[in-house]
Amino acid sequence: MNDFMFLFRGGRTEAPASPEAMQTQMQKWRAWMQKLREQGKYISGEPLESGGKVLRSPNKVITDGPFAEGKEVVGGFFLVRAETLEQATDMAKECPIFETGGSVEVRKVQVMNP
Amino acid sequence: MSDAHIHDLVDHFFRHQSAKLAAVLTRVFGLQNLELVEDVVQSALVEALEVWKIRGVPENPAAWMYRVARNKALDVIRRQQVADRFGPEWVLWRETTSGPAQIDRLFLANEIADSQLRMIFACCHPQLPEESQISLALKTLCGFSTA
Repeated sequence: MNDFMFLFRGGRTEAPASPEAMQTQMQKWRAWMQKLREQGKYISGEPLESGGKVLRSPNKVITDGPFAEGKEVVGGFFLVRAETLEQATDMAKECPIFETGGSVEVRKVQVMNP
Repeated sequence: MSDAHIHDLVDHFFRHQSAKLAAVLTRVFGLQNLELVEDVVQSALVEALEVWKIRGVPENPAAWMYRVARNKALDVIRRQQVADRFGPEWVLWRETTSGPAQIDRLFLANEIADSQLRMIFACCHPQLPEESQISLALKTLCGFSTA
């Protein structure tokens, strides 16, 4: 088994969404996460607050951000287990973020093989 | 995840919470600021959704949501207090509230029920036309969208 990271971009609930619509979204995410949990594929996940600081080389210039297009900004991540990148990608296909216009980037965590 | 935990989120959790938050925050900001109340409610619900969908639902979702709403309300008040120094006409909710302690008190279970009752009376005010009473009740008391 390998570790993969799902980076969630965009797909933030646009106001004003009705409480009912938010409920539906919530249920879908819960169901997806629960499925991954039951299959032993979910490791962890954290949401990220919007905005922050960006430091750039070579002089460590600090700017507020990232303020790129809302849909480009990473809103959170999952760490999951899968055999292959293809399998991880298939898992990501079921993410409810696609219903709200977001995207998922799937990346394999590099391992130091002995 | 316990059964009770799952139960907390089934059915109409967001809609019910939206109604409770609207009732409580109306006591904080006053009925004349209903639009502000709706904004704060909306932003608390969105924050809950955005965090929970990735981290999972906390042990006590309702308490978590009250915390978020309380902090957002305090932010608004602080911002307004700063604005007050430059424009003293903004003193609408001064008489009823201000500090974190008063707001915390409003989130006690019996106070939430009391706020909801006040909201029912407000929605049924005889000076409002019947259609307004109904749409206001559906929106603020039941958390239905107007669309």
